[in-house]
Amino acid sequence: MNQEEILKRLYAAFDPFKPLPAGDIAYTDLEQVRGDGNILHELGTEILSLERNTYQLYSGHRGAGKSTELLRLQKHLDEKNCFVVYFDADEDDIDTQNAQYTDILLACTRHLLEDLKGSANPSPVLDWLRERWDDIKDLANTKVEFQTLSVESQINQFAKITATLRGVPSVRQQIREKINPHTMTLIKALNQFIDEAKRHLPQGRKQLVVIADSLDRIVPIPQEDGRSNHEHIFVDYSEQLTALNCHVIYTVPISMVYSSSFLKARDTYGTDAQVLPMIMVRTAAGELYKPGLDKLKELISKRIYLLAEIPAQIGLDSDIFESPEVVEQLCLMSGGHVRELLLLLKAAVMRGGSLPISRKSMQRAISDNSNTYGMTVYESEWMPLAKAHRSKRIVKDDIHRNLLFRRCLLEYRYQTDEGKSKCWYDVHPLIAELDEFQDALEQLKNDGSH
Amino acid sequence: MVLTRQNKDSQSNPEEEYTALLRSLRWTEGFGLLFVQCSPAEGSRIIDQVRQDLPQKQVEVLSIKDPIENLYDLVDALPNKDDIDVLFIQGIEHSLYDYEKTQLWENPSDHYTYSEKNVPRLLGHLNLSRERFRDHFKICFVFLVPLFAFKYLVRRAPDFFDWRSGVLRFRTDPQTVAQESLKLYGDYKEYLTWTQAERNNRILDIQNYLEELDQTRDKASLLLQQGNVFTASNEYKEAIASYDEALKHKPNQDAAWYNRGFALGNLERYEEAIASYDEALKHKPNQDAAWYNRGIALRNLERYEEAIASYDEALKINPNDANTFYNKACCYGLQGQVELAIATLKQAIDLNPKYREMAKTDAAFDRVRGDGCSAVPEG
Repeated sequence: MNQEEILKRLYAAFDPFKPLPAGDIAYTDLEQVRGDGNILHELGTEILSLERNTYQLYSGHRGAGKSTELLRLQKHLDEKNCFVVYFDADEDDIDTQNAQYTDILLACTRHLLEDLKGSANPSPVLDWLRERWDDIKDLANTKVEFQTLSVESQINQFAKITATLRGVPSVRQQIREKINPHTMTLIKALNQFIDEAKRHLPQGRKQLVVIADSLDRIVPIPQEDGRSNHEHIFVDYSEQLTALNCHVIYTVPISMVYSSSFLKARDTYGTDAQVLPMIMVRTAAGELYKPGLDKLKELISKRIYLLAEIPAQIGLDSDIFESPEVVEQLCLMSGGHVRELLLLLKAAVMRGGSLPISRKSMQRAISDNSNTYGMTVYESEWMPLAKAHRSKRIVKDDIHRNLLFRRCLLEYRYQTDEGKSKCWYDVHPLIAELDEFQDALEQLKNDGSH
Repeated sequence: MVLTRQNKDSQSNPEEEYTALLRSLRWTEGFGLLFVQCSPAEGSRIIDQVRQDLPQKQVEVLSIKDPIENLYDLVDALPNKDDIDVLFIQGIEHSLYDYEKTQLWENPSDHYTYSEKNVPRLLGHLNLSRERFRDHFKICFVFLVPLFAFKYLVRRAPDFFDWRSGVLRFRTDPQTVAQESLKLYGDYKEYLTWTQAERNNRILDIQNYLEELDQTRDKASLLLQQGNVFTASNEYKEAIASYDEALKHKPNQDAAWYNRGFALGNLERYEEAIASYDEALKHKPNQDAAWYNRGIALRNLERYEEAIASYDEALKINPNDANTFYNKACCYGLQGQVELAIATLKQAIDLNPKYREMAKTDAAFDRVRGDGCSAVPEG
């Protein structure tokens, strides 16, 4: 295998856009070093052990591995005789500019209909849609005549229509006003469908679970009352979001989980949100955390030798990377964030262009990504970042929640000797590189010495 | 738009960036996302070069001139989409204009902050459709974006951006940037003849250079231009915010003070307009236009004495301006000073006979006409 071919394979192996499917040979089990044993078993255990339906919120930093973990959960539940409807919310589901809870409800409806059409009669839901359709078809300005469609194509049509509901900008609000008062009847109709479907689940399965992934991709927009659209959706409409007659897991933005208004909705969901923490590469005291680093190296190694199928005689920290320090430094600078690590590795391969990947290429990859991070930080945020770095704690106000959302602050966990889970925060190592941050830190020191 | 830091990687050189770009393109098979931060002119050079250097790849360009909401459909509609290896996408910044405008000026005191009150529809679309791009196109997308649009992408389409295969930065050297920015200096009268779309695009171009320019002096001049383009579009609020910003960088710009006064006057904020003209005159006293417009604002506040004094200053500088005489005559007329009104109006008519006709119907002279004398002098 020549050098060009190796580089090309490496470059592809670090693609940030390919979450590993459940059971993939390159999957690295990171649970222990995330400091929270078995978060997915917790989600899963709730579902498997409780008589009632559960509505759980799942969160974590963007790119931390949520989807990978949820796909594993899906497999796990599947093996435990559950029928899982997993979907990745996309543009057909969510209004890109002004997402509302009805979007989420309609998305669940659509995917349930598609996945369970063989198990139950969809007519309660389709009847509901037909009634609404008569109200809005003039507004939506489309020629579709609902009655003329077969049941099969009516289900297909559901996606198209719900997209149409959002698709005409000038009347979008009017359409919503017509639909929103009817969401309770939609839930009722959907529950009728779900109840029947549960009696006839494929292969005699007993439980029905919906996993709604990627809802954390709704771009945060502050509303007039000062709260975010996320809070409007997941807090104000928690009653509706917990009204389906099946288990549901919603992915939510990390900034929402820590909002004060979310506390009010906690009882409705019946549980705290589960947050997937970063992999610890340093301890809160700033020392290297070897188990975490080793896991990340394992992850890199699996990607290189199992995914890219680089021959084993080509050594990781001699032939591919100039030295073990290069690999370690990249792991440290990722902050224990999987996608960040991939982005850094990919950038280092691209910058180097030859083997082994040098210290210089590694530094270039770091400073490039560091600069990009710098672009997202406001002047007023350097000081809060510096303070968080010093105290390893944050108050959960707008600024800090926003910084968490943007991955400028990272959340870590570890188990104490008594087995308790402790949580701490730090600034992203790529941000710590920047002059502005160092200036703020310096200023903090000086202020403190007075 | 200027966030808290300037790009510090000015040490990166274009050849290095280009080599890295070629490498990425060569190594990418199927889907990929590359972001190249560069000026539009630089972008076109890159495309030409890549076409030459990668003859084995099918390279296409999607050049977007107007605001769009959906990129997926545009790509999907390309007739040869299945054959494309590399697709350069230029011009997504045009979809940011509306947001750019409202977000910048809502809270000028806050200096340039991004408004997070909204998300450009295109960016919301990208953020939610990355899987569709990945699953349906075997294309390496290369987004060529100017700095300000790049920052938008990073902030408002974070999930899309998070799937990048790499970022390349072609930073034009500061001198060239300053040089190129001179092309954006235009004539206000010319702006008036442009279409709204042309003016909007100019605002975006200006925004981009504002991001790139180092010198505060250059920024001040460019912000003044931006204000003028907004003024030509009758977008006075935005214009005033631009002038304010220009004056923050360089407080003694008389033109900015003057134009600011003009924009304020158009919003009927006369007191502020007068103060702005006063500032303009402090820095450059010999401006008859400033005295004249100051007079107009005073007249609108019915402060006729002061208006007349202001017109007199204008006439000292430009003694043959019929329009100033006419407006001065109006003030006398409104005051009921019939003789002075008639005498001054005559001066205006002597210079330009069109004012005779105008005066016949002008309500300012009602009291002159009511006085019984041959209201408007004949000759």
